[in-house]
Order: sequence, then structure tokens, then C-alpha cells
Amino acid sequence: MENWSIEDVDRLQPTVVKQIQTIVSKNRIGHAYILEGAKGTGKVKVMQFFVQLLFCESPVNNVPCETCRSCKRLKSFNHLNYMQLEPDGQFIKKGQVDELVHALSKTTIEKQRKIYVIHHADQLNASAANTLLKFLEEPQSEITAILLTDKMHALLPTIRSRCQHLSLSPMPTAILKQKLIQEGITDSMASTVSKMTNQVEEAINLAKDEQFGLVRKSVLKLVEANGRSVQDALMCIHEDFGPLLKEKEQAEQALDLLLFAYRDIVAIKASPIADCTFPDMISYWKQIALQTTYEQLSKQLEMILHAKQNLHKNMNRTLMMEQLMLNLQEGFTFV
Amino acid sequence: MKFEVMRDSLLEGLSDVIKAVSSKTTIPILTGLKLEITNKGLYITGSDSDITIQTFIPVEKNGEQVISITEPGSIVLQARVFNEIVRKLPTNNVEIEVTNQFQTHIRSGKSEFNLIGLDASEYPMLPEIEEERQFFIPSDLLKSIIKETVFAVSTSESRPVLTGVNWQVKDGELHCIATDSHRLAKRKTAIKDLPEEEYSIVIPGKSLNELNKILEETSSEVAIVMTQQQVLFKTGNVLFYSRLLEGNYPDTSRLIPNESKTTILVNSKSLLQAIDRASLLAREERNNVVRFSTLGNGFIEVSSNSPEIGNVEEQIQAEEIDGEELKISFSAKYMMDALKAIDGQDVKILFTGAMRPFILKSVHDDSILQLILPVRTY
Repeated sequence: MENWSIEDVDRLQPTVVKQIQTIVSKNRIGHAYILEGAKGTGKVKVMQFFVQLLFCESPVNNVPCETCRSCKRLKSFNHLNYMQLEPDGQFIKKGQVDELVHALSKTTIEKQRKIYVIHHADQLNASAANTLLKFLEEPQSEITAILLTDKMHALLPTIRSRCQHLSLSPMPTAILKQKLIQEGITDSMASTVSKMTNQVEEAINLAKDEQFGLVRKSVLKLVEANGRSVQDALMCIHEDFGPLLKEKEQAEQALDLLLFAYRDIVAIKASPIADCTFPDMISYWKQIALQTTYEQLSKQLEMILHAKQNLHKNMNRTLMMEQLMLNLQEGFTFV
Repeated sequence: MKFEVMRDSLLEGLSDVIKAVSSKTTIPILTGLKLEITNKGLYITGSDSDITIQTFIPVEKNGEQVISITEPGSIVLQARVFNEIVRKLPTNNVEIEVTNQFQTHIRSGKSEFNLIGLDASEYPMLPEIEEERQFFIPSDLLKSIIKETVFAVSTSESRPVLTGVNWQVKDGELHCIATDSHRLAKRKTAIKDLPEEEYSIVIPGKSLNELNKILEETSSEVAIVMTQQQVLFKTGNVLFYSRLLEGNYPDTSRLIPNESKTTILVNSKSLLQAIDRASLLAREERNNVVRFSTLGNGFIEVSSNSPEIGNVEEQIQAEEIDGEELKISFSAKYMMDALKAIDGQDVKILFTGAMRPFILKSVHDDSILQLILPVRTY
């Protein structure tokens, strides 16, 4: 479990924090919120700020006091009116939601609002989401739901329409990149990691991670091989990707980077001075951009996204990569 | 905080409280017991957030001093560990002292334990009780009320409110109703000095089962206080709090048919045994359905058939059969539960046709009513 800390939240997300403060001070608390923001934008921190402000017995200037009984109990995870749900494995399952709903349908020992938080709400599976929907719609008492997600579109439209949305703004990439370069990271690496995450510390860790460097190198090699011929691409998968595909996380990183590479090509095609994920490859991108049409590129992007979905469905990873290479080559779908 | 207490009294208090503590809780403080020492005595509280049990050990019991207080205060200690320690202490004198940073020293004879406690202010606060709203029920009566209703609560969580028993106070009577939407159990009890206001609360079935374990089979009075948030049962020095279920309990009065077309009076024991036997050959996956039909000569036939195993037929002599002939099928399990709850000699069964719910009542009084929905068979 992550620590409970609301330090610096107003510097991290000034707009949303202000929004939350207005909601609480005007006492217009809704029954459900979606906190949406890319990885590294501090969703959990903002959520914790929101919850603590709602529970705090004596907030000062719309900031939780940190010393009252409620604040203390939140910090030690002893608050009975606060409940949270995290994915059990890949999904949040129906049983988990059932349990939550059951717990929330009882009165509380201490009379106060009940708050429940669902982390990674996009990973609710279909039946779990529908169970939750019923409960979201008609809360029996003072209950507030906070759903955290980085993929808003992956939530059921019916759930989205029943919640108020709070969007967290990502840190501008340029600023993040500058900070990374100040830390002594090369320009090309800084460009890449600033696309992968939005948090300075995480970006630095990633940039210094040897494994990540290897993934990055292999992906670029693959793009080049794929430019030459499908045979080369398939060889490249067997030679370089074998160990990378063992860990799901790394496979996902590789696909993300591949996606960014093709995104770069599109960006370069649209404007030769576009901001790239891989500035070191810019001349090669320009060359490919000349040879392909937008239609082809958009198809290729679609293929990579499709492969990412398959990854989550536990497809055999080597086969998945091979299929992806064939699809990228031909521009039409192999089954 | 510092005090001395007799080990026997402490153990006695702990034995009830420990029942409320669950090992599965996700909230760290609920793995502990709260000990609070005041000038009156020692309060011990345990909770799994659904139910909370508090016991009180007075300073003096039967003219004997049980507790001697040096300094009042409160602390939360790990329930399992504390319970085990107290049980195994060498002498009957236990000294408990809390020094700074919730360090707790437990001394008895030559042994000394140091436990790391938790901040008692983080323990959930129990609601204040208004004495004037309470009413009394003898403990054994309360036990039978629980036994006669709680079995019928729903076990599925799709409608949380049906997992509880609805307690209504109205017209000087306490109505307890439980249903899982296939059957219903209702118990009426006349109680004197009920509060004037009408109450309707839903108490979780699980809480009532726990309460049943604590109640004694005596006629001592149990005080009950209902509030919007909690219900409190008070017996002797034990307080039992339970959370309630939110939401409106469905109106069940319209479900109960007023007239009947067939009335059967039968010995409940022989019917129960016959159904039990018939259910042996009824298939479990189809809810143990048994068939029940009247025969012309004052006999009832209970039968069951499952093609792969075989079939059974049994005739029972009824005391009385009035009205139309009848063939009906129902779940053997529901029927047996209902007959067990009535637990009298003779039972009156009122049918209104093969597709309509039927009621079981005791011959002697009206207080218990069991309703079962039949099963459609072809």
C-alpha cells in the first residue's frame, strides 16, 4: 500500500486542487468522481488530498489540518469510512465489487460520509463494472466514489456519464525534458523517457535503467530491420527480443516504444521540425516518411495498439511480435 | 495508564470481546482490543466493524475488589496476543502499565511482557446511547426470535438489504421479518413498554447469529436500543453493537395471502421426517424439490422422483384436511427450515392453489408465520 501523503499536492496539480477546494468549501460534494490523468501525474496524491479534506474535522484555509483524529486515522489506514479497491491480478473482479457494495450498504459506526476509491478503474471487468454501475447510480446514503484511471476511454460510457470528471494536467514535456537534461541525461534519452512517464523521479530512474536502454536499442533496430524486409524483422525478433519478451512489463515497454517510433514518423511527415521521441533517428524517420502514406501509417499504429491489447490477453509474446511484424510489413491484416 | 486486575475477571471479559475480532480485517486498528480504564472500572472493546462487543469489569464485584487503579487511560493491544498472554499468566494478579509511546508492560508474578500498543484515539468511537428509548426482552425469548427468523435471510449479495432481518416496532409489538424472496419468516412478539415511536431497522443476519452465541439461555432481561446508525443489545456487563443495513426493506405485508382454499392440520414432527426422507432422492441442483398432494381419505402423500436414482412415496395421516384437493411442489429445504422454526406439535398449512405461496402456522398461536413459494413442475 502506498503511503498517505498530501505534501506538495498544490504544486503538483494546482488547478485540480483548487477545484476540489471549491467543491468542498461550497459543500457541493457529488456522489461520484473520476480522477483522470496520465501516469505520473499524481492521481493518488490528489485523491488522498480530496479524501482528507472531506474527512478533516478542522481544515485551515481549505487544507486538511493533519492533526485531527480523522487525518491521523487516514494516515494509518484506520479510517473505517474509507474503503479502497485495487485490481486483483489483471482485473477488478465482480466478487471484489460485490464485497465492496455489501460493506458500503451497512451503516457506519461513526456517523460520517462514506468514501470509496477504485484504483485503476479502467481494469474493472465487464460484469464488475455493471455491478458497480447499479450502486453508483443510487447511493442509499452519503457516499462518494472516486475512480482513478489513466485511460478514461476504457471505462464504460455508462459509468463515465454518471461521474463528475476531474482531469489532471500532465507536466509539459518540454519542462520535464529540460529537468532531465539538467540531471545529466542525454537529449535523445530524455526525449524518450519524457514520453514514457510524466514524473521526474520515475523518468530519471528509467533513463538510468540498463534494461530500458536495451529495450530502446532493440526497438530501434527492429524498426530499421522492418524497413529493410520482413525476414530481417523476424530475425531481429528472434535475436534481440527473446529475453525482452520474458517479462510482460518489458514487452509492454517495447510495444510502447514501437508505437512512439511510428508516431514519430507521422509527426515528421506532418512537420519536419516536430518534437520526436527518438531525435537520434530523425534522418531515418524522414526517409521513411517519404515512402509511406498517412493511411498506411495509421493502419500500422492501429496494428501496434492491437498487439498491445493481445499482450494483455496473455497471447504468446513471440508469436504476437511475429504477427505484428507481418502486419506492419504488408499493411493488411493477417489473422 | 496503570492498573491491577484479577486475571479471572479479565479472562471472563475477554472471552466475549474476542468473538468480535476478526483476523481477516484490512484495518490495522481492528486487529486490536481497546482497554479503557476509568474510575468505574475497565471497559474492553473488540470490533470487526460489523459488530462491536464491549464488556465492563467493575472495580468491585460482590464486595471484592477486582481492579485497583493507579492512573486512568486507554490503549489498543493486539487481540490474539493479549488474550493468549492473559490466559497463560502465572498468577491471578495482573498489572498493566502503559509508558510513553504506547509501550505496554504486563506483569504477573515474576514474568513481564512488553507489548507495543496502538493509539486508542484511532479506535472507532461508539455512539452515545439514549437510555429512554430502550426496551427489554428476556434473553431466551430473544434467542428464539433470532432462531425463528434468521435462517430465512438471503445469502446472495445482489440485494444487500435482504441479507438482514427487518425489525419493526409498531402498535406495541415487535415484528421481525426475514426473506430471501423465495420464502419468508415472520415473528410477532408483544412486548410491554415499547417506545411510542415507530421504528424499522434492518439488522444483518450475520450479526444476529453472533449475538445468538453470546446470549444465555436464561430469562434475564436484555435491553435493546435502536438508533438510525446502530442497534445495541445490552446484557449484564456486555454491550453488543451492530451496524445496520441501509435501504428500504420491501413491504412484505401484501405478499401474505389472507384467504385459503385448502387447509391442512398435521403433526409437524411426522411431516418433517417424511419430507426429510423424501429429500434424500430429490436432486440438490434442483433445490431438493418434493411433491406434496392430498389424498381423499385424510392422508397426505409426500413423494420425490429423480430419474437417475429412483423415487420415493410416503403417506402421512393428517389431523384434518379442509377444502379443495391439491398437488403442489416445493423445496424440501425451505419446508424443513420452516417446520423446525415452528417447533410445535401440530402445524396448520394454508394453501391457495398450486402456483400461489402457502403459509405455515402453529396451531396454538399466531406469533410465527412461515411463507414458502412453491416450485413449478410439469
